Amino acid sequence: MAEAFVKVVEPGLYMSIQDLGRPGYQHMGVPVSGAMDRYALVMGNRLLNNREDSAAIEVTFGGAEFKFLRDGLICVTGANLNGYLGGEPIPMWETVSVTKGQKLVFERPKTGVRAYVCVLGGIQSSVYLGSQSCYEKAGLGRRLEAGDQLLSEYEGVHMTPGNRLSPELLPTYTQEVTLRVVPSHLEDRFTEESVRYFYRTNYTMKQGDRMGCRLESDQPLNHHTSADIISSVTPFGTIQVASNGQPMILLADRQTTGGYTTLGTIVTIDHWKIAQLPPGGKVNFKRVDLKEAEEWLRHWREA
Amino acid sequence: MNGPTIYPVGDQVAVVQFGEDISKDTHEQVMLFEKLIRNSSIKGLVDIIPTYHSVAVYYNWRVLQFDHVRALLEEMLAETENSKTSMSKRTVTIPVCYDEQYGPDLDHLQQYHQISKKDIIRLHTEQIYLVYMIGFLPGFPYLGGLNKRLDTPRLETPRATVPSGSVGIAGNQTGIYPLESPGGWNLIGRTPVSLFDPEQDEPTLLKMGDLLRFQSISGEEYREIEQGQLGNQVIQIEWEDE
Repeated sequence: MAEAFVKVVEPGLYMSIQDLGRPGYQHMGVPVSGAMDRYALVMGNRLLNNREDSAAIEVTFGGAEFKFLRDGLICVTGANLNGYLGGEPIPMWETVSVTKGQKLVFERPKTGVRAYVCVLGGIQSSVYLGSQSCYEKAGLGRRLEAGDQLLSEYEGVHMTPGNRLSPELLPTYTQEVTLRVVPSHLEDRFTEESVRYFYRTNYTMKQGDRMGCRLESDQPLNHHTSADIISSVTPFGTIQVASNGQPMILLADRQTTGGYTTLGTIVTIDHWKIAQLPPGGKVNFKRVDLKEAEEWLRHWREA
Repeated sequence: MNGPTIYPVGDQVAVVQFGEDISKDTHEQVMLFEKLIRNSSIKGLVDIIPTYHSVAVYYNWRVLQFDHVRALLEEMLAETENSKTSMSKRTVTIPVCYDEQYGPDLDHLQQYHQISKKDIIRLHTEQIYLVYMIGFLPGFPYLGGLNKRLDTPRLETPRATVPSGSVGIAGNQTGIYPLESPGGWNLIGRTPVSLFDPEQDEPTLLKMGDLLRFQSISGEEYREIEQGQLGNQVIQIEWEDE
C-alpha cells in the first residue's frame, strides 16, 4: 500500500515530481517533459533497485525542506545543493536510511542546479497520459507546494543503505561545459562565418527553466535570409536561433515543434551537462559526427 | 518535385521530409506515411510526429541507430508508392462567440482592414479550414485556409496571458489557443469548448487532417455551453468518405 512518506515543508524555487516523461503524445502537441537530468534520476533509481523510470522529486537550486513521515530509504543524486539530513551532510549517489520525523534540507547550489530525491519504490502520484511528470501549463500535475504529502510504495521491497555508485560513474558538474553537437540539416541557412563563430565562442547562459535556456555572446549569428522555417520537430538539446541571433537550447518541457532555424542538437550523452549548468555558466560547442555520437552512446550505460 | 529526403535531428530522431512548402499535396503524403508507420510493427519507435511537410520519428537509441531507421523508413516509403488508401475526412464545427469581451482585437481588425465586424465574422465563418498539424501547445491546430482579406500581422507586443479557447489571427493563419498561455495573435473571439482534456482517451478534440468550420454564437449560447447545459452536442462532427 502506498502511504504518506514525505512532506514538503518548503518547495524552494521550483519543485516537481518527474519520471522519464511522456513520450508518445507529441503528435498531439504534448511535450515529453520528465527529469531534466535523466542520468541522475536513472542512477538514483538503479541504486535503490527501483524501476529506472520511477518518479522522484526534482529540487531546483535549493531553499527546500522535507520532513519524513515514516522510516524509509532514499537516494539523493544530481546537483550538490548542500543537503543536510537531520543536521548532518547527506551522502549523495548512495542509498541512505531516513527515520520518521527527520528533516532533509537543501540550502543552495554548490555544484549543479537540480537534485533528485529518489525513494525506495518510487513516488506515487497521479498519472497523466502515461507519466507522473509535472507539466503544469497543460494541467498535467502541478508544482509541489508547502504542505504536500507524497506517497511511496515500498511493501515487499528490501534494500539496504550504503549502496553507492562506483566513482567512475559519478558526473562532475562544472561552471563551464563543452557540448557536442550533431549539426542540423539547416546549418547552411546560416552564414559560414556565423557557423564558425558559433563553434569557437564562449557563450554565457543568461537564463533558463525546464523549457529551455537562453545563451548570449557579443555577436549575433546571421541567417542568410530568414530565421523562420516551416515548423518542425525540436528534440531535447536542439539549438534554435531566432532573428535576434542568440542561441536557445530546448530542454525537457520544450514545445513539440518550433518555427526557428536550428544549428544542431546536443548529443544525448551531454544532455545532463546543460541540465545542470547554472545561469552565468559558460558554454562551448563542438561539432561532431552522428557516427561518433552513436559510438559514444553505445558505450554509455544510461537513459 | 524531388522525392522525399531522410535526415537525422540529433542522435535520437529521424525525419522524412516530403517537400519544401505547405501544400495540400504534401499534407496528404504526410498523412499517408504517418498512418503507415503508426500501423507498422517496427519496434523501438517512441514518438511519431507528423508536421506540415515531414514525419519525424523518435527512436529508442538502445535498440536502433539512424542507419537502421533510415533503412526501415526507405522500405516504408517504397510501400506508400503502391498503397493509395482513401482517407475519410471529418468536419468539426467549433462554436465561437465574436463579442468584444472575447475578441479584444476586433476593433483593430476593423480599422486595419476597413471592414465591418459583421464582415470579419462572415469571412471567418464561411471558410472551411484544414488542420495541417497539431503542435506548439497540447491540442493546438495549425489551420490553413484563412481568407486573405483577414491577413493581419501579429501584435507588436504579445500579451502575457491569452485565455484558453481564444480564437486569433496571425499573418495568414488562424488558430485557437487550447490553454491559457502568452501569445501575440490578434484575438477575435472565443470558443467555450475544450480542445485539450488529458482525462479523455482522445485528449485532443482536433486531429491532423480534420476539416474545421467556425460557427458564430451569441454570448448567451457561449455561457450555456460553458456551463455544460448543452453537453457534447455543441461540437458537430460530420464524416465523409473521399
